[in-house]
Amino acid sequence: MINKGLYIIFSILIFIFSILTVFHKDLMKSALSLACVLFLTAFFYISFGFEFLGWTQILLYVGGIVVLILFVVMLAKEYVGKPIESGMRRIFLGGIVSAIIFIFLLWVIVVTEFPEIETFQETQKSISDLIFKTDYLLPFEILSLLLLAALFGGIVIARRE
Amino acid sequence: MGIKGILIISAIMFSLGVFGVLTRKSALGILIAIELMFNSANLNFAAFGRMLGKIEGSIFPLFGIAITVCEVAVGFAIIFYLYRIRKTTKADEVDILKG
Amino acid sequence: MIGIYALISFLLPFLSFIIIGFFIRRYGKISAYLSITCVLLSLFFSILSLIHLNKNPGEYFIEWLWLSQKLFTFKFGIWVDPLSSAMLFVVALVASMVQIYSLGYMKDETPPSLGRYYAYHSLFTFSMMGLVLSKNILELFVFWELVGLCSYLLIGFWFYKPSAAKAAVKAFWTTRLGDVGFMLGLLYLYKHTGCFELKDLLSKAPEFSQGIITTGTLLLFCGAVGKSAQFPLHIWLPDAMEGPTPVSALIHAATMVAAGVYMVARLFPLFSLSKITLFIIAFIGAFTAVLASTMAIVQEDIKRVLAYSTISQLGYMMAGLGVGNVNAGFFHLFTHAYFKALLFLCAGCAIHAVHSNSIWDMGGLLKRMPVTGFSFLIGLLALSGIPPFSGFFSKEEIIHAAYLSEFKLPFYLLIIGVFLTAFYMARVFFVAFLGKERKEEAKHAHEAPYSMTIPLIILSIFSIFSGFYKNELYKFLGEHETHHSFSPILPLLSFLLAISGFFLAYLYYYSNRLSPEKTARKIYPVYNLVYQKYYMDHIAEWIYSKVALNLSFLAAWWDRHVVDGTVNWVTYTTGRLGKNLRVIQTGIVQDYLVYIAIAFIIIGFIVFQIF
Repeated sequence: MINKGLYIIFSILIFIFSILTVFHKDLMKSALSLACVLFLTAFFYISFGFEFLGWTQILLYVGGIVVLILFVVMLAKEYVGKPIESGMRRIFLGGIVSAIIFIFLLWVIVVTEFPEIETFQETQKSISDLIFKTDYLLPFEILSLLLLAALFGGIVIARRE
Repeated sequence: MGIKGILIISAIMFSLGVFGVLTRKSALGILIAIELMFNSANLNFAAFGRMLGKIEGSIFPLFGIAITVCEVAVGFAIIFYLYRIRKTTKADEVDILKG
Repeated sequence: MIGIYALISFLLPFLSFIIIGFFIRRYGKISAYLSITCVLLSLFFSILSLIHLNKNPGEYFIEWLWLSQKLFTFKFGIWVDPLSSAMLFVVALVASMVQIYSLGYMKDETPPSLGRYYAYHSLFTFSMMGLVLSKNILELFVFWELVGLCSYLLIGFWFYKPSAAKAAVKAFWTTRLGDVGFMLGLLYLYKHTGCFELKDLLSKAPEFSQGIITTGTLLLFCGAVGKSAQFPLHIWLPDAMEGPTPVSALIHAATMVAAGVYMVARLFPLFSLSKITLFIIAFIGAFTAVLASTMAIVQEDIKRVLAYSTISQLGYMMAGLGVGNVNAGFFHLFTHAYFKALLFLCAGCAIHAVHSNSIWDMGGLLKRMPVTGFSFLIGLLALSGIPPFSGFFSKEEIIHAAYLSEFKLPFYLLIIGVFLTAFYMARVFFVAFLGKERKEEAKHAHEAPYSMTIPLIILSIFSIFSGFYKNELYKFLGEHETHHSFSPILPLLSFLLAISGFFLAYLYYYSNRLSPEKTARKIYPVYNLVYQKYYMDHIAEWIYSKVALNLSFLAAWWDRHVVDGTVNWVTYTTGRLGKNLRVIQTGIVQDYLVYIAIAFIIIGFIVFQIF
């Protein structure tokens, strides 16, 4: 229910920024473009009515992951080296493949009949109710285990002897 | 705007992410492109959730974000280790499985 | 069960072969005794079988299921009837005499060698009996080949002698050639008649068309030509004399070579339906008889004379069958087995005494080795057809049948053969047994030990008396011909011819009125032709080297280049393919991701059925 024009502007912005993310030679600028894309996505989330999701996106994704990437890019310069573009052959193949995938997805989207956008039900529960009082508790707990495992894994792999 | 518009944007992001993964020479660049792909998936989830009018549309992307976090952490660890072993992070030069 | 005697008789040598061959081969003497015991027992049982059969006439079968398929069922079995049990007796008798004789003759062999010898002998006896008792034509063929194998093994017994090895291979090759014809005939008959069983073939014979019968029997006869050394496949038999003399006596005089004759006799109701086949058989038989007699005249090796004599007599047998009198042919086989084996064993004694095969190294043996000498004389008289010896009766039957038949030529040839036979046998006798000693060795000749002389005596008795049992034999076998009126002209004619043959030999070789050298020089071209065996060996060798060897080279080329080439090409292509596909594995993960993406697209297409 937001102004349609705003949607279009933001869509175009996302498009530009994702292009920048993928094509820019400088990793720093690439990461920053990624941050912009994520910001704009958060806007979309909020426009859907998922406020919690949107803010979490900004907090975690932009504030966490992109910052991490930037840290690595900046501090660990010896690990990164100068980014150079790959050979023509891979670009060509990659281009074709991603183009085909895109056309494929496009076709699916266009052809499929989607039902009407429904309004939120009146008896909407809060997110915490959803997580803690239904079956979504299990994935939640497993997620915490996953985080733990990733933490350990990361340390184990990357530690200096 | 309609659901199709969002989906199209998500599709564009996804294809660009694929292109990036297949093309980028530096390992970090590949990781960034992967983030783009993840993001497009999350957007899809949210869009469909909104279309069906369910609040699940907000928690699935949440899980997705959490998973992404783990994946990034481990991915970096691997890149560090790779560098230590191979002294390079360029994807083209890590080809010991050749032949 | 009536056939049980024949069955035991048949299996005893096989038992002996297995035991000797697998277990006790290195103990020569024990193997010998075992083999002799088994064959003597076999003889005993064959006599029992004969007696039994005589009392209860008829035919008896024993059979076992061998192979049962949707297309055909195949049974192995034995067929005991007068013909087979008579032949069984002959085989057992001659085999036992020869094996006893071998104890003395082969005493210089090392024990493992002796064991090998008796193992082969047992195997041969078993195979020959199997051939005789065969119930269907495939079984016959199996034993036919087995007999050929034993012949090869025994001819080449002293395989370290190159001449013996070559002779063995030549024998095998030549009989093989005949066997190809036999196999073709077998298959041809099966295809057109659907029966393997001999009995079925014979009983259904009148139903088949002339063309089928003629072709089938002619092909089968090819096998007989090879095995029974008829022209043109007779070339192996003289060379087969490289083997030990007892082997020559058993295999190449009495039994194996008789297999061809026996086969024709067995299948005679089938053969008799085709005039063409009968004519060919008669003609080839008679021609061989004369041809071989001429070659026997100029041989110096006593065994070769006997070998050509065997070929000649086999020709007589074939001629007898060809003119339609199967009883006559078989009777001659019967008597020939005894006196020819006798002659060979005597020759063996003589060879043993003077350590040489040539008749010109002997001389005056009669007074030094009386048993051998007189046995040889008895065999000679029987072979030449002098009454009252057995050969007279059997030869007369054949000549008479030839005279009465519608083919005129065989009769004249056979008559000529009588003269020649008498001549060459008397020549040997005069040169080797009478007269002065021609070489030093002959002066030291002494009589052979008992193990060698007793078989001689026994065989002599058979050579003398078996002729008198002609009528009993005929009754036993079943009358095929009505009794001919007895006219003395023919017997008298052949008797006179034989006597004149003796006389001529006497003139040449004893009284030296005529000189063989001068005669040879006068007719030198003819003499040389005969001496060179009409160059048939040369022709055979030429054919072998030009045709057979070149075919072999062709086959070898094909095998090496085409067959192996195909396999090599496959390997090479696979290698190339592998090498070219290897490029895909660059080791770079992103390339692999490309492949994954492509695969994902394809799967997506398939799932969504875009095509």
